[in-house]
Amino acid sequence: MAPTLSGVAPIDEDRVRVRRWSAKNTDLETVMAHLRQLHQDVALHEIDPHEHPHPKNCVINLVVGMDDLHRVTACDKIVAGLAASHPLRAILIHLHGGGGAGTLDADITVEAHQLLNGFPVQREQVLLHVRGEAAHHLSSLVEPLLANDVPTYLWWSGRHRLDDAIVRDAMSFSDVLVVDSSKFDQPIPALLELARLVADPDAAVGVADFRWGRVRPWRDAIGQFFGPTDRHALLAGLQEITGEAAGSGPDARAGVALLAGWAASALGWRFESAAGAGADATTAVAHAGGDRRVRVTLRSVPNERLRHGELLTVRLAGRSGHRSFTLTIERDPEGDNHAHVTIQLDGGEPVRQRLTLPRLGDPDLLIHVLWADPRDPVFLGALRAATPLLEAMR
Amino acid sequence: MTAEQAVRPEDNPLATGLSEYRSAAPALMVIFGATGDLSGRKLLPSLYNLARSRLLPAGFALVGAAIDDIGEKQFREQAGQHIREHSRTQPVDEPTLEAFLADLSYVQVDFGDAAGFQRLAGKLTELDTARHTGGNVVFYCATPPPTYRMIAEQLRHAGLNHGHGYRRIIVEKPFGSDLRSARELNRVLRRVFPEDSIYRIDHYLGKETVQNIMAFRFANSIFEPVWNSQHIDHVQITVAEPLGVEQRGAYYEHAGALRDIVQNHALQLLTLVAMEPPVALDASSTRDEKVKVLRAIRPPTPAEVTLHTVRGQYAEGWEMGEKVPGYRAEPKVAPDSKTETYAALRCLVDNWRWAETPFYIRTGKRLPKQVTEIRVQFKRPPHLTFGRDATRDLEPNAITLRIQPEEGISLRFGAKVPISAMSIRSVNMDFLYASSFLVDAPDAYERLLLDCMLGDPTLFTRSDEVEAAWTLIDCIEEVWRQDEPPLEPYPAGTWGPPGADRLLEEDGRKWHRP
Repeated sequence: MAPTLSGVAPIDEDRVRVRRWSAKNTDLETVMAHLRQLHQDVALHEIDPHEHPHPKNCVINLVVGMDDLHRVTACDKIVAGLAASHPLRAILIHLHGGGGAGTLDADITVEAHQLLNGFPVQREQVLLHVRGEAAHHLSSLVEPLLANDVPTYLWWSGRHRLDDAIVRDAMSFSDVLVVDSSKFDQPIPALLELARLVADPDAAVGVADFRWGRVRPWRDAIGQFFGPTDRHALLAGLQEITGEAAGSGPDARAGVALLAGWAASALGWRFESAAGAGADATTAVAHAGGDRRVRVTLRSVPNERLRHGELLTVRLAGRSGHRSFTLTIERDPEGDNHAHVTIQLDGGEPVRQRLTLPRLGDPDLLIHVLWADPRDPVFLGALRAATPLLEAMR
Repeated sequence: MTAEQAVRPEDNPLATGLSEYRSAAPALMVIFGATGDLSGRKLLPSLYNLARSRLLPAGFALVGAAIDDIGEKQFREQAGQHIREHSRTQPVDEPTLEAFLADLSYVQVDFGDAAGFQRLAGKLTELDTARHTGGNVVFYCATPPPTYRMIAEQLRHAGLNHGHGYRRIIVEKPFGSDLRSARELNRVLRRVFPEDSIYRIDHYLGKETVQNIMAFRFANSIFEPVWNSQHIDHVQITVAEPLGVEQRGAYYEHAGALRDIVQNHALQLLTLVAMEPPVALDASSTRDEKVKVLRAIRPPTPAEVTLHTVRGQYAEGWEMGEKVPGYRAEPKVAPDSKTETYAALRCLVDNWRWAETPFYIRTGKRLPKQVTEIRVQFKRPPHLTFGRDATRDLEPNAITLRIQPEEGISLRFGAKVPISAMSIRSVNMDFLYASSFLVDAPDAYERLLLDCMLGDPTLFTRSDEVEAAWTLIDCIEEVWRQDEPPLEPYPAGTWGPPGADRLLEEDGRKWHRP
């Protein structure tokens, strides 16, 4: 089942211990000393004098990079929510932030709490406002703060392009780079940059994109349709994919391009041609082996209720031997978390289904990234395969 | 890769990487006893949650079948109430629930009357045509065990046990009340359905943490080399609950702790701890290994039953700060009842791996708290390097696999006490499921219902497993019927009768306090 923040157990408010420390114009050595001290204070305070401190199994380092003051508050809240049941060390870096004259301002929060079902959980969170030249050398600030021997995820929550030197430096200490390509100033070049990054066989980091997470419920629904054994053969008869996303302009279609890339990668297609068809459509033809071709149409459709780029409709149609099929998944027009699925098989009466199609927020998407394969080959394949479509949208 | 290579008819490449992907073919499900407690508390909420997780196939429809004279509308209303009250996920997702309820039908069926099954057959034909379910039907007997035989026979008479799709039947534990009745039930069911279409459900096996026992043992190379009698001193399996018999007095009078818990839950846990690594995680390989363990458990002689088992019955006492009555004062319980509400036993698994390593099992009602755990206690180091004084507080290494309520694993080991010259004390290293995975784990029934629709019986009990377990239980029951060992009372809210402590003390051991 999908991990969700809603599944996190509530905290026993009487069993929360928090220690905080903050300083302006400080240095990293001081920050580290206080982090150690706060960690020990909380651990010892939690126990009877005759017990040993309950070990806290820190399972990840989460480094969050931000270049926008508004994101600091939002990310701080997301990380705190995540840590409610997931022991972690979070290091939030606000680039060019704070108002002091020196290099660094710091806030440390160490919190130990018991969930209502008795689980002890601890989080350690360090927020650094970094200024001046140090902002270009993040690895020197972050590496000493990382907990040993657990994976490090870098959630790049800024608007900078990935080829920015700051991001490159930040990637040097990470095992996985997490981005939301839809939040970049230029989403399509950013996705292409990601595609180049994952194509590099020497790349040491895994890559995850929230945009891919948003596509997941649609992949579930499409994958489920072809699940029954007698429908496997229909895959070889796919003739047409149409995807629509809310908004206008090519940026809106990036998500559906990724979905089309996923189908192409999974089914071994190669895009032969891709071109813009007016401002609000991209069409492509994929070679699917032999003399088979699949038509792909991606459209941007203005919609006031949904966020820019959200998927509205996906339709797959085809014919295999004497069998024909159409699968249509349409997001509820009211924009809630549901879709109407219509399946038409062999010209018979359509079967309709109401499907949950959650619109995942940043906390859920982050959880999914932490939970999933950090080098998801399906995402990497989809991104690579979608490159011709993205190039045509650029 | 060409399309021809990628799209193999037996494959669905679009499912690759969908970690939650488990796609069943469209099917119909019939719940017998659809208006009953199990259906309302577990089955309907589980099916709703499968729908909510996008795991029910398009075309799926449910038919409720029960004796109650209610219409479809009333059945849907009742189902909606139950789901709202008992769903694992709250609040319920109203559009999903609305769509789920719209796919419910109801047929009034008296299990002794063939006409009801003919009406059911008509309903299934109608739904199959409208919903393209390919003739696939799962029949779920959420009814008392004595009805299984009647339902199976009626399905056969109505021709519902075969068709152009699959036909499967799910039956709930207990699977019989002794070896003879279990064999008879198996015989009846197999006359109607082939063995691979009979799904005997013990919901314990659907729990994530129970499945994790196998992952823990066979996905980690550090434990398996020491997982044997050479290194392990003994194993304790505890299935404790604070509740009394509540409204189940009539059933419990005939069952008792041994049949109710040991025959199924506790022995299943024992098999998972003791089994050899299966060659693959498929239904046959896994269940073959479990059956081998059950067959290797040494059947106790009557004298051994007297010595190595303990029967207890809870008396009046205090549970969670409240005074509670004794078992004999519970509703529908005989005032001179001899039914055990507590059972403890010492088992030996006669095979190369476990020779002479005792497995202690205890289960009971009105124990101080709800806990299910397996404690694997290792032997002491052969030589006390640090001397007796330094290791006075040191207990042997132990691994505890906690099934509920705090799912996890802990490892106890010795560590030097800081500052002291060389004093060693036991410390625990804990792994907690909830804090390491953010997965909103499904209910066991969700897992098992979907497994059945997928045709995966790995987590269901096979007939030979059931019969092997009853063979052991019958040996014990036979002696217990002669009041040996004597039934010992224990105050509610305690960890069982004194005999249970003696059982381990005689071996120089003691129960772990969970």
